[in-house]
Amino acid sequence: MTCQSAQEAIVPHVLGELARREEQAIREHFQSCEGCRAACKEARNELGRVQTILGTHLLAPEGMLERFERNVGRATVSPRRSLLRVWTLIAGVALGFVLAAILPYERWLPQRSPSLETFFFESQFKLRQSLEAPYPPAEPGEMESLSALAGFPVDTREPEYLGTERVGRPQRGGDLLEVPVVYYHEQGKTLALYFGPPDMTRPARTSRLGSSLGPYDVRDNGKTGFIAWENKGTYMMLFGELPPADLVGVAQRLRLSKR
Amino acid sequence: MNDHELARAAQRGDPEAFGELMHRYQHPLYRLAYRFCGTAEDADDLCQECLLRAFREIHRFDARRPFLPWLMKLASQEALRLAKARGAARPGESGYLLLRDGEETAVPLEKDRVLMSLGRLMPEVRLPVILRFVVGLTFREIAECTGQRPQSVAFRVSRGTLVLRGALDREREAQDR
Repeated sequence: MTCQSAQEAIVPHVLGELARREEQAIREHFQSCEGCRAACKEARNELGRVQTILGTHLLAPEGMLERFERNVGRATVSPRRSLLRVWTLIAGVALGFVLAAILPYERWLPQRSPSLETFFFESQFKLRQSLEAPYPPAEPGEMESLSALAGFPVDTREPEYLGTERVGRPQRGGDLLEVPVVYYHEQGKTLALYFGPPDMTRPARTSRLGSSLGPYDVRDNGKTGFIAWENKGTYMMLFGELPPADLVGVAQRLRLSKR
Repeated sequence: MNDHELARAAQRGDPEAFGELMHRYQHPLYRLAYRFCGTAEDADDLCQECLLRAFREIHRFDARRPFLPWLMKLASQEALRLAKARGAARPGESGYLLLRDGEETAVPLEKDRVLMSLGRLMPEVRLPVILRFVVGLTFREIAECTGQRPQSVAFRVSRGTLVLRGALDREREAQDR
């Protein structure tokens, strides 16, 4: 285990959350590395203080449950409600069959998906909107303090929206496609994430950012809201209501999965 | 009666059993809500939403499993929904009040700094930190509550605690001066 991976595992180690093999590895590393051992001791002390502060004994205010009961009224969880749900479901299915019989057949044909280019173009506007909200600036000395704790230069800047870049798709004759690019900072390096279809080629090495992690096929069940995937030959991109903070999660997950 | 028996009774429509369950877990629920929102008023609103959801969805609970993580899952979803509804307004900048009423602390300034730092964390980072340090859930339970992978939870907790520890260090330096 290297010092860097040990540093990253210190918090889970102190909290007792490491798997057995990782726990063994970090213990062996501590035996040979005084610096990491001292960092672990300091982390244990500081996490204890954080635990003391956050875990202050807070009690629910008196009357909270009574207010809830007033809000709910005299309603109770009745078994009849379950029966009612079943009947509602049956009625819904029956209504569905009736509507299917009445409405024209064309209504039930799948709608044609918009082209990828159209999808991206329309998404750009939403993406810009979601990324224009400013991030709070780092506090004076915050980065230095974090770097000292982490043992490597920590860059707290959030991912930023770069705009779009043209990438190629060899399976479609090498045509160019505009895809959104987000870059973020990690240990002094600037890395770019290209969100596009799985078959897009890696952007040119002469990219102005110098290095890239793309392309990616990001699958996350639509929870993050910034996802590109291929569905039965149709490329889709879902932005949803993407707050800028969610990009951090995307960037972090991508980084984790890459490792 | 234990939690499992109470949950089964609540699912059969026994309001007393549901009330007893909520009575047992009202304090961890409120702790999560208070630490996430930062104000008693918002915490109370969040708790009311969670209690209402628990009441409506108790029939979905698997009574063989522990009750607290299920309740915390509902609370997490409601908390993130609340944070999303408020959009760009970050608790650290608007509305996150320091805990002074009814709480005594040996080192108030340090506590204030840590709580302010907690309020400034992104909701997706703040929530796992609170679930770990305030409620006491494991990473695996937090992953189930938040829908994240366990390694993602570990990363977020590490990142969050790094910021909180930074607040401790800055205060320590100020005291040394």
